[in-house]
Amino acid sequence: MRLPSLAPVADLAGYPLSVADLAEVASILESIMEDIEALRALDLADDLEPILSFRVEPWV
Amino acid sequence: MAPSLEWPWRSLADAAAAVKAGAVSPVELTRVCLERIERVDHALHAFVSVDAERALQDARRAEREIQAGRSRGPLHGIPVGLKDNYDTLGVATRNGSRVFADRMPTEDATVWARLQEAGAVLLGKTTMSEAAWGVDFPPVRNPWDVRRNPGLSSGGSGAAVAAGLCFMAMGSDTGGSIRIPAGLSGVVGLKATYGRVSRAGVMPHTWSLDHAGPLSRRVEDAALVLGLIAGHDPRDSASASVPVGDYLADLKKGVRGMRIGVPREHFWDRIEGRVATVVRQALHDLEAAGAKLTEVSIPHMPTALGAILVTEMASVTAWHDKYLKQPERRAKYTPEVRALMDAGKLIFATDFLKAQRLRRALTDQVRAAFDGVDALATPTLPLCAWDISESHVQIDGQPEHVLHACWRFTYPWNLTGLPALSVPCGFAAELPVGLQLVGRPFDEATILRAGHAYQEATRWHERRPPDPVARAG
Repeated sequence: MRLPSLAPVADLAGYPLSVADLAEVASILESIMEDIEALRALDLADDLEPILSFRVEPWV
Repeated sequence: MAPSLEWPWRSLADAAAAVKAGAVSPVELTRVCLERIERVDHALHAFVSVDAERALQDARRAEREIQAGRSRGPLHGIPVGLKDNYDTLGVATRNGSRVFADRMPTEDATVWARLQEAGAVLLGKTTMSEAAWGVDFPPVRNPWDVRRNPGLSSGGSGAAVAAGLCFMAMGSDTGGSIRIPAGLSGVVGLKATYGRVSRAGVMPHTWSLDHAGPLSRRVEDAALVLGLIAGHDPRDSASASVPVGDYLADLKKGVRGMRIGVPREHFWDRIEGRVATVVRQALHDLEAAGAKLTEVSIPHMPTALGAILVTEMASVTAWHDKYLKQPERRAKYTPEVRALMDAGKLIFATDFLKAQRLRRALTDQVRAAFDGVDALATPTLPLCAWDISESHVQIDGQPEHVLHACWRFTYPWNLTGLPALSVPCGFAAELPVGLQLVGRPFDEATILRAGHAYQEATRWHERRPPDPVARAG
């Protein structure tokens, strides 16, 4: 693994991430990328606002 | 009076009525549970800590109160378990993690305070996976087959109830962790509407998805407990100010005329054939009891996994961040959980917000699916309990990680915040299968009524698992 190219990733965490840590993180991200890509690919209506938590309003 | 050894298999409601009538004493109930824990839990690991002395002390006090003609409430003298993420004054609460090995709460979780007010006796804390995310040590065993997993982070609570170690145990559910162990261990699990039950004093996992709720052997018991723990709590910012109903009042009204929607998408794809067969039969049983089944459509359902993944990963990391920054604490996370939390640092804000927009779109579609129906019904899981040594299973000929597979049918109801109940509905190859019933917001009464009607029409909940000690050899 070429750490220098991943150094900004380690910095982003805000605490030291070893090469081994980064390898684990890469493995996890790889395992979920398909689902994240599917989320990114969704075409949602422009007026659809996020709900940050459950709200009963849409049901009323 | 029933023989003592039968008590752990009786329902909470039966035991509570017997205590009230003086037919059994709280001390006897507590002793029977403690003796059973002593005899079989070394094969199950359902409890991470048991305080027998304190439990007996509380039971003796409950007994004195009964003798003096004073009843604390519907759980007077009833032994229960609490997942290890519920704060208990003076009793260690570790969140299943070495990071919190020495954590001693100075206040009770609101739910535990309410259960105590109703008279419950705490046997101990049930085993949970690390930070409600990783693995548990030693792994909790499924009472139906000790080689198998009892199901995710509230697995200890599910195993404890299924094995007759207590009358009810509390769990928590971020993507299915009450309903999954309920389904895999053959017990009832209830996740009420988001905000219905206070999470104050329950260690957070994902703020916008976390729910607290009971696991029990009977739907009636879940209804009884919900009536005690539901209601607004100023200590929980997400707590809803919605009136709490009498969940026992309409419980026995049956399902005649109840309209139950069965989603077309998602819940029948990639499911073990033996599980689908059992759940289809359960739907027929509900129909035979008078329910009207109708197919509904929720097109976004299959695409929602990314939404819960990014929401959960970012939220868990945000809460644990201050501990991850402390080298001595960071070292106490297992490498697997630590890596998940590190990966949570790399969830982009744009993806997080897209996930919350998808939540809204999914909620709108689910609301539309509820037009003309009173509840939805689905399988709780696409598979039965898997071997503890397995990380992947084959479903429909496709390999899938067990953790990926097991929450596919439960997490949508965390994203939408709707109440959901898992009820045992049969067995496939001697392993339990669960039926999931989903209600409108704050309409727990309808799904409890349907679940109770199903249990009245069938007898699956009366089956007992084999002796775990004999099975463990």
